[in-house]
Amino acid sequence: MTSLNTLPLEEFGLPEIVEIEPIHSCNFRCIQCHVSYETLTKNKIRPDFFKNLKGLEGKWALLGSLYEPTVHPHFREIAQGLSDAGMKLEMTTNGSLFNESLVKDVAHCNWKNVIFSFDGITKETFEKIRRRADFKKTLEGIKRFKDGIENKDTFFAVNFTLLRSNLHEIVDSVDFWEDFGVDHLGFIAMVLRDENKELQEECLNHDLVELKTELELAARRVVEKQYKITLSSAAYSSWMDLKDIYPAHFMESLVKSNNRNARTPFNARTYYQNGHFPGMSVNCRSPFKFARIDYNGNVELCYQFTVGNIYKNEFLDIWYGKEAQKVRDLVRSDPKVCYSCDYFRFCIKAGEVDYDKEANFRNETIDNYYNKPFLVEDKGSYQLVGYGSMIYGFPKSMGDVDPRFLAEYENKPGVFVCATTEEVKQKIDEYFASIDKSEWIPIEIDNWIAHKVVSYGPQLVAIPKGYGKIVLNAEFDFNAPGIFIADDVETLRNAVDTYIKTVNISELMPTVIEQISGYNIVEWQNNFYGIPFTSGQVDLVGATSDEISKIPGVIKSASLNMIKDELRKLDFEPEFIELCLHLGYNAIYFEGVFYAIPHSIGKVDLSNPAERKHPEIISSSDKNKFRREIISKTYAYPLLRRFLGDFGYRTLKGWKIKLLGSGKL
Amino acid sequence: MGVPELIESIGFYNLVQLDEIIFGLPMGLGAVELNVEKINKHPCAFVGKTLEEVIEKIRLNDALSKEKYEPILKDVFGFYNILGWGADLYGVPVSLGEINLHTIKISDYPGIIKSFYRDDLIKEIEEFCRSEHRKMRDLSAGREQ
Repeated sequence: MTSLNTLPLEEFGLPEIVEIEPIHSCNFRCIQCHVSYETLTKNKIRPDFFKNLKGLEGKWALLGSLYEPTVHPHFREIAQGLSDAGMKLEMTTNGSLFNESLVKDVAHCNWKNVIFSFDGITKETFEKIRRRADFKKTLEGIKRFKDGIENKDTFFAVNFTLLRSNLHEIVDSVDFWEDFGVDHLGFIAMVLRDENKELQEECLNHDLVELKTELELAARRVVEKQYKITLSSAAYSSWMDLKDIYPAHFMESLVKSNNRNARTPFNARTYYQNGHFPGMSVNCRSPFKFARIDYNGNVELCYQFTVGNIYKNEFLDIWYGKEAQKVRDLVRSDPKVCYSCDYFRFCIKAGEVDYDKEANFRNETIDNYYNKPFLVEDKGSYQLVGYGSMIYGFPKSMGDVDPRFLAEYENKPGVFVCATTEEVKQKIDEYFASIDKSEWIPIEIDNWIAHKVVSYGPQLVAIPKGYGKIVLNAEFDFNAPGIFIADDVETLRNAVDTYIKTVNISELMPTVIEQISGYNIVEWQNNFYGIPFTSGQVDLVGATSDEISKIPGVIKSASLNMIKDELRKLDFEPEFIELCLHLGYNAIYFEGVFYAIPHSIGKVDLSNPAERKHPEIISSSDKNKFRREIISKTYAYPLLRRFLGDFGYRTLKGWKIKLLGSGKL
Repeated sequence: MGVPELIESIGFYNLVQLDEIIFGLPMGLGAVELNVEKINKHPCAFVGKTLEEVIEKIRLNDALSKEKYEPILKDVFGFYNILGWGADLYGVPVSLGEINLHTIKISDYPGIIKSFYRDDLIKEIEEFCRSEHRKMRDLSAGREQ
């Protein structure tokens, strides 16, 4: 027997288990499985995550837990990589994708535990439950893998999820898998994850007597026939009459015969995580022994806190890092986090789930109102979050706040914790009533199409963007058109949506109508503006019509057709615009004159006659003349340079600038 | 000379009869010549004319044989390993994992059961397990109330 660990279970050190979820996908859609009731992203871990996973020799790598690991196109590389890193491999799989090539490639890997999920032992039952699966092909895949891998000490188990449809196959499944040669058969009662009728009909919460009878018969079969296969089920943890007859053949959730070759499973998950750890209020060591890497590379503790990403940092830096430590501090200081943890209840302590309690067939506790932080409602600049039977009121200006880490915020003014939403709301109102309005700080918290949303005191205010920069204070006219105030986002949204339908949106914000000849045509406050692309971002809000017109190159008109005509006149060919840019000029039309402004002279205010006369600016009111002048530069420039050579040309240009000043050559 | 015949096992001893002589041989002794003089030289191997005589010698020298030899796995019974050690059989719960009977104080482990006869051992193991299961049943019934 080898030693299971080098570090005492109650000490913190390297993780003993790293669970890796290679892909957010599965090739089956089993009726009882969460996969059937969620949107699968098919996100998959990059096989190069290994480069940041070092120093875990001898530790457990658990492949696949919630999804099917073999669906990952690089599954073989992942298994090989973890094996080469010296990790002990466990895998939970449906086994259907093990073709000859895949088995050959992973045969040498360090497989210690392999668990096949297989519900039912007849084609009819199996394919009814495991939608998209083929009974025969799946069995062939499992056999191929089992026979093909090199480590003959690998422990093979089958997980049999119990539903009403396969209840009658429990006892025969013992014979079936004994003949197949697996070491262990685990019976797991289905947990209700959706309210659909089909699933509710499959739930065993009303068949507890029959369920226990069948499981008792299965145990009797194993013991009396001296089978090699061992069994497990949470039901075996509680009393059954068979324990009086064969008391030594039951241990916790396990059943074993007198067969000398019988093997009981080693469950790393339970062994390392289920038990006391200093400072913990529940018997759980998970955050000190276990980490999960999901298909996005996120590293999680406790199946609920993301503490880093494997692509960005070394795994062990994350494991020992500040974020991970924060979680470990939290679970030791706040037992609520653990009491409401499904991973603790259904996975780590799976063998102790009491099947006599109907609530254990659901994945929500009934007695604890809010298991996880949950947005209850908005109240103006506050969000009300439920957690652990309490309601927390946080100012939205605090951003995303997790009440589980409340200790970080406890000294912050304006955070309220009460038993009901009404109490929190009252506290919020009292808080704002107690401070002067001049102390209310407006904070922009959202941005809708034509409005910005500002939290202000106990309320939310929607302000048309067209109002530009405004200061919210007691003097502000909240009755101005387009401005709305509400306690919650939904009411505010409804008011704004209704208003927008009644007005032209361009009255609320500058709106781009069309693009012509290198210009944006923008409608704003009953005028149309042609704004050259070259002007970059122009802030029309808050500027007067005259101010806008003075922006270089901007054309103004009261009619859309007129401005389009104006712009068509300008309609420089794209090649010409490109030529100008190539020569280092911006071509602009302003007050009936065409200008070519060299980039080298920087910003020019064409509304200023003195600046228009800059010697390097080319200008003409005749578009053709203007165009010819620009084009001529393309001839003069290379001809002169060819004649004088580069050195002579630069010398001549230098003398000319010295004597005559800068200007065209 | 006749053929040696295994008559019985007690603890980790095989009781072998050859002609009219009974030998008590520790299982860890390995292959030996069944010669009275040679066997008598082994401190933990015994010779007698009757089964009772040899068993008596084995029991009297139990402490010595336990000191010299390791326990031997003889059988499994459900979640118990049955070990032969000295003159006795020990039922050791597999849940205890790797455990060295040499170094632990056995009385500290109520789940470890010792007996001279196999039937008695099995009966005691069953009684112990049954009472543990019932205790658990009563505890959870108490919690329910």
